[in-house]
Amino acid sequence: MHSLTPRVRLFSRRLPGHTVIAVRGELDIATTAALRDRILTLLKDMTTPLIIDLSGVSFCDASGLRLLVGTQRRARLHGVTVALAAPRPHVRKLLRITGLDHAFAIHATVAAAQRSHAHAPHSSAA
Amino acid sequence: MTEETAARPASVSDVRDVVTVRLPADSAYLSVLRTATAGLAARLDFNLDEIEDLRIAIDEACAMLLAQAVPGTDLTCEFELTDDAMSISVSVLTVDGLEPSRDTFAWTVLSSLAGDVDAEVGVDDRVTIVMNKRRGKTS
Repeated sequence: MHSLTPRVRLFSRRLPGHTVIAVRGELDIATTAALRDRILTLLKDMTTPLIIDLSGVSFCDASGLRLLVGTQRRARLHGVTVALAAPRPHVRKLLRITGLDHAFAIHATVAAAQRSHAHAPHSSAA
Repeated sequence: MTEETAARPASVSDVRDVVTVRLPADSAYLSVLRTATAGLAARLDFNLDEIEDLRIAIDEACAMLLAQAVPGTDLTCEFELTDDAMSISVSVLTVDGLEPSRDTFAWTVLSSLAGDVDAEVGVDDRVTIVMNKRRGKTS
């Protein structure tokens, strides 16, 4: 049965002035709990803006949206801003349906998110 | 997972094309059900956008039901296919016998993507979510 669990992967890159977390795979109630734990761990010592690269998310439901909202809420407690990058059309549609497109900065590409959110390297020593 | 198909010949005027999928009430099987749903929707010539709507809708409905499912029981999905629509009924035996809360992201997503949606609680605390998605109607 365990082989049926849809796989989801998370890659994080800590760069000067920001961090990029890329999620790849399917976000549903079977996969979000483990991701949440990993993201919360990464947030613990994060001090610069977080960009979540959604380009590899092939499926997302409300549990995926809750993961994003929970991440943003926790990040705010640390003074970290969160931006979303490169959501596929249906993820963007869900963000719009739920009104979350007003709660997040959403960028078409990771590069665009970096231009808007990354701290300049010299100011990232917070 | 068991799959039963009851399809009468297409020449019969009152043709009723029904597919029932029964699977363990466990989130690990949601991806399988999404795939089955996409396959059935493709059979009705739903477009890719509509198919994705249905994949998300069935997932949301099941996720809501799994939250209160009696452990070790099955989730039953009945798909009724007509010329231009798919009616899906998802049900599970529940611990609490409560209709899903409509004040959630999940219900917002479900009702936006699935067309007509309703929920009911049966006498044995079986909770059923019924949705009806018509082809060629933007959500």
